[in-house]
Amino acid sequence: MASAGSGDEKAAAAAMITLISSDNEKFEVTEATATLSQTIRHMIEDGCTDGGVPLPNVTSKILARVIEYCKKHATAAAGEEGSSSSFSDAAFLEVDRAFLEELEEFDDAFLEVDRATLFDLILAANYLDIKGLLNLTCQKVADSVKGKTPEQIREMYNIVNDLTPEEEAEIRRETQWAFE
Amino acid sequence: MPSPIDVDDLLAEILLRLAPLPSSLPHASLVCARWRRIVTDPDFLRRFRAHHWKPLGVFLTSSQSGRRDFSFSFVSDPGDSIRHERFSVPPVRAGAGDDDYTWVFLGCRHGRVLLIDRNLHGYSYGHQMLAPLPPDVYANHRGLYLTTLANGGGLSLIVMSANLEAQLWERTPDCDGAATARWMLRRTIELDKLLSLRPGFPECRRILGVEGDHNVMFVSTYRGVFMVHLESMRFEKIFETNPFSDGGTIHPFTTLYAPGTC
Repeated sequence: MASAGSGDEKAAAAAMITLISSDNEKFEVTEATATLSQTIRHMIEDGCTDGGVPLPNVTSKILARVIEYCKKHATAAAGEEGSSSSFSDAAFLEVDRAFLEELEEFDDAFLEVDRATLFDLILAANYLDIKGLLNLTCQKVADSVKGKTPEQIREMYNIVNDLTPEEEAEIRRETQWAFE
Repeated sequence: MPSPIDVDDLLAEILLRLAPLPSSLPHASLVCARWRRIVTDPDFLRRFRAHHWKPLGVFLTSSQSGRRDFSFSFVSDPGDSIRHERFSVPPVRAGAGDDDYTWVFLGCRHGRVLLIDRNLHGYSYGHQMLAPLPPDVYANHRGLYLTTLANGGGLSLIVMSANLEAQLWERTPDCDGAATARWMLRRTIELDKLLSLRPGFPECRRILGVEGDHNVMFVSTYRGVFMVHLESMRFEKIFETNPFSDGGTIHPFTTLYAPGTC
């Protein structure tokens, strides 16, 4: 695939990896996209990616979303590296800022999913060890309980209260001010 | 597929990102026993503090034209759920004595602050006014230090007496529903016996400081400067003679991290 004369770097950037979802769907992605996942990065380093990378914990629906995220953020990472040598140039900084804003908008739109999908994305981000995606998705869940009472949180996430009345009374007494 | 809420590590990742409001962790700890276990875990709390490094606010003490002032100022957005008056400084109780007297600030630790007035009424934010320490304890004290030696890591006070007796006072939960929690003497640490000091020479022994999170006390004596770990009672002499000609303080520096890990 790599044309004659291209350096190692270019060849690596063009290298393609095949990811295989739990329902056996194949996704071709660039190595730069795939290595946002530390799990896949280690597999590539160990040379175990020939014939594709099976991901038995990730469905095709979720894997497609994860790849969408990684593609966008891999481009961002490449852009950052490319512009670092010309940071003094105001025009480049302007471009960087515009790109970061675009990335934020992308993240916001990316999180517009139902709860089941959000939870599956957290599990996939954890399994694939993609720090940015784990941070993004966990933050979304944390924000969902902001300002909620314990009762409201239980209701939202179907949690059974197994604290004894005594334990509950003790916590409330210690932190009474938080419940006014 | 399990829900991430049911996986301890992932639930911790989520709870770590709760808004840094004073009410966030109390609310989470009331959801169920598992949530409570996670948000009270010391490692979790360490990570929580590192993640939310910005303090909620700062306490200011100033002394201007002979008048001492004390106040609190938010530096982070406290959100709607917190009542601002929680952080307004209560007036010193009537009859406290000098007009220019105000709260003495003992320290902030673990989301609480301890202020003491001259009758040793403690006040800790987010809590209620504390009952005073017995007057004779206050009258003879040679220093007050905030520590986390109480059961369960709660707030406690070390009250030093002239003869190097360190009294550990704990704030007791007001189980009987009393309006004010009380101070309870939990134990007395006889530092002079521990460090094999001869009786007398009270002028030759002095507490240089207590490092709260690690509960290490530094004691200057005629035999040299000792550091004492108040939980284990292990001690070590670090200077043969006092490094200070007169007054001075000591600040321990610790490096508790594994280099090379990112």
